[in-house]
Amino acid sequence: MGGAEALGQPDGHANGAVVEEKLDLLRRQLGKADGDPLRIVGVGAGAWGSVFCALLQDAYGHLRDKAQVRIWRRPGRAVDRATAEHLFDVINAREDVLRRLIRRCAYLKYVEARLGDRTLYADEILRDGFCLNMIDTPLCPLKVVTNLQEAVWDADIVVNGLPSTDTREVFGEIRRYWKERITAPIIISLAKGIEASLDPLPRIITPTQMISNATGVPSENILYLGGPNIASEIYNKEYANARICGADKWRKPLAKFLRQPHFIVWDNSDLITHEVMGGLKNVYAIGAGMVAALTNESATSKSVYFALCTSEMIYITHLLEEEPEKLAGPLLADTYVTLLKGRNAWYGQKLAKGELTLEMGDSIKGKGTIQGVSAVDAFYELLSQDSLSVMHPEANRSVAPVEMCPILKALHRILITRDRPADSILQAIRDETMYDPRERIEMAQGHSLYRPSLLGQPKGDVKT
Amino acid sequence: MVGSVHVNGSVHGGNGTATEERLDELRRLLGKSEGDLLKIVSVGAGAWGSVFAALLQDAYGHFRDKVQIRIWRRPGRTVDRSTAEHLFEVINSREDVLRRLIRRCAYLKYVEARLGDRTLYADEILKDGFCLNMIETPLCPLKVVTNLQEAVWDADIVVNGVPSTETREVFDEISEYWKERISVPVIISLAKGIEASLDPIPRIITPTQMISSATGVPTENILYLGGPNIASEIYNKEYANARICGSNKWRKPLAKFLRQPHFIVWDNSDLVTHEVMGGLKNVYAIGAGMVAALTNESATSKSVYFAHCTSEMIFITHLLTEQPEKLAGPLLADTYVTLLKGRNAWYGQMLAKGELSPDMGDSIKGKGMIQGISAVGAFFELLSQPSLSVQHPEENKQVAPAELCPILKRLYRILIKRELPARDILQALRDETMNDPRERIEMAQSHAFYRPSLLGKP
Repeated sequence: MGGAEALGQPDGHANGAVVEEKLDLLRRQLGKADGDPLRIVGVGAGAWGSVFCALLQDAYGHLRDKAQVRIWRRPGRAVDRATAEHLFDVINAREDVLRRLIRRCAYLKYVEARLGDRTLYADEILRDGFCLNMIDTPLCPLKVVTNLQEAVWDADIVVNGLPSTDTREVFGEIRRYWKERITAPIIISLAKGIEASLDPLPRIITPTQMISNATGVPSENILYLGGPNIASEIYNKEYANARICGADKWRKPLAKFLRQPHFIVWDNSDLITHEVMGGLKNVYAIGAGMVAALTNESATSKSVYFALCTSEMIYITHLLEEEPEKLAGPLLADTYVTLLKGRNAWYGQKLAKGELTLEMGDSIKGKGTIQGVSAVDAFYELLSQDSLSVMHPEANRSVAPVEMCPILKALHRILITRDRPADSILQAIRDETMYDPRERIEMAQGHSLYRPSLLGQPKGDVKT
Repeated sequence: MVGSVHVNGSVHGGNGTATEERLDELRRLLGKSEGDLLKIVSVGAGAWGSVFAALLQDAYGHFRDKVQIRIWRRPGRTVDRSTAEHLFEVINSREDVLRRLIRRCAYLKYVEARLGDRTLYADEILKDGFCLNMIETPLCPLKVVTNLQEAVWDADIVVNGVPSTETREVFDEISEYWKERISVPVIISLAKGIEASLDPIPRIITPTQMISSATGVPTENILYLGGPNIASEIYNKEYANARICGSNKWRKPLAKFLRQPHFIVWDNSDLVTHEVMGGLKNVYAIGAGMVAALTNESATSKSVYFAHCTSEMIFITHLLTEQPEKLAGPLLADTYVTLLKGRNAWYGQMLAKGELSPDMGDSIKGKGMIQGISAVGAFFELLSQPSLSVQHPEENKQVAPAELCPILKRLYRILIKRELPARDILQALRDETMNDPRERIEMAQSHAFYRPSLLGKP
């Protein structure tokens, strides 16, 4: 309450003091000496990765001798003419942005690009605060580094903003630059995709596991930040909650450090489950987008879809987690927003309307990677394994768990095997012979479905 | 499977046959003999009650010697000029409706009303399929009865479509007309509101309990039909799920009877819990509408709201039922649509925009009863009783459950006590000191909270 009163003071000094205290606290915990800046590096410049860095830059960047925030992205990505024209419109519509660019002598290149006389590159516009995946929402200027070694070699905190499909490769490279490090860095991963490994036994590989394997950084120093992820809304100070998951040592200090008046960060010890669920909801978000488009935003059909997909998600959580009910509130809130708005749902809508096709791949200009696509494949492959068989509730036989997940099956046929059109998602929710979603939940809760091996923890291991 | 293929693949005869079989089966179960019509009466003509009657009329109405569907509403409700003008536009924009009215010599009264030369009444337009709460969606013509005794005295199935705030009164009157009945009717209630009784012990009174007390009809014959309830979408054949809850004897036959290709009805034995949850979600739907309006439809803020309100709902379900997890999927789906679209959410939006105010009451022209308002009062008063105290998760003391439901508390102060403006709902979301919604859920699941007395169970 005392803190709240302080926050009630005029913005400048009191807030500044509080912010500096938070920074100083984290610096002490990381053993940073005076004159040695805390180096925070965002790796990957998708929408959320860029916003995350911009939030930190806005909050701590003015404390130049104590913290330095930078972001790495690959060089060479050209900005096409249509995007350049749109960017020019955005700049000219925002007086604050226009003034800033003029003041920094950085404006004329946008005029040239608008006229087609110059090619802009993603890294140079990002220095001015424009993320290629989020052109409509200008950010603060950022320190952009395109050389990975230069970006990360001395980083104290690395924020993984890569798609999960790039995570292993990039962190494999980072490892080479960290060979001679003495201190172990902290890594916060924002990635939501997952992979399935089927050999020697079926299990899920998460981005944090990829990072741990690639870099050798101890798991204790690797955390996952999940939550609703409409990056532009978060940067525009819409009130948002997020959850940082990981070991006791770092999750509370980081939650405190990352927290801002409009961005609340809670902490949770269960890293793996939250990370996996972050990927699972993207699977069903694609289907939600399809249903929304195919039924002209029918709330009734969305509700049917929501009942069925949440019951599948709950069923899957019972395979993965011993006490999945704890996910009920937060997981469903994340699911709610992911189904409502977000690029996976957007992608589902576009497919259903025929404005995008599967052949265009899962990385879309202006939107970034649609992680739900690879997640469909991963979950489907995993849950199709006979070694995970469960008892069918009516037919007296064992079946692979995926047989109990008709929406996941339908999405697999639409997106992966591609032998069904997008509108067949409606068949999955309109099958009169389909079980009441309540029965799937009751089955999940009434039987022992838990498979510890799925999250890479054989029986007997103590959970962190 | 063979049956399904046959039914779906057939032309009219096939579907007709399956439909007639379902009707015949229900008639047999109710002991109806040849020539004795199955009489189904919908009581109350709100949107959902009207749609429900219309769905049955569309499905079974052509079997004139086997079934009769009628709907009761009070007489005397006038249609105002602007609504009459709007209705005229709707009629003229729908060729099928226009043709039907012309053919039945029922069109000219709408022209007169449009010109202001005649007053229309809600019951007469309902005969032509226009529900005053749902003017945009014409229904099939309905048999409308304005005399309650005439409507229900010989009914086999009564569908309760009146708001919960009127249920007791209407069914008390019905009880007078049923005094000399020999057969016991089946009653299906669509009402979602609830009341709180604090004497002798705090407990919830549900519409089905009101009906049972008022009529003396055994509980076994009273069922609740819940589910997402965007009536116009259901009538327009949007695919929808509903759940009929009640005793073994009737719920499966009725689920089968009510089911249609675009309206799937599942059955559930837990009548009381589903009925209460139907009311609970309307509470939080009002708040969702407020948040949507105040944040210009921010998905991020909606998500924060959803996290908190679902955790409060889960907390409350742990007080009310022994195995609340079973509600997880269906309850949340209903919550999803109720928060997204529906009159309670609409009402919250209008309050937040200042286009409506609490002083206008909870019955809104063109929308009907906003049940969430009285439900806020009921749940809050119930959960404020010291006799229900639970351990506070952080402070070492006992508190009333309402103290752990900040959204419910704030809605109470906005809607019932009216000491706060609608925009204060955002404070409930933005309080940094608020507990993580996960903590509320963990607390609910790790302690024994269940209070059987709240639902009148021993």
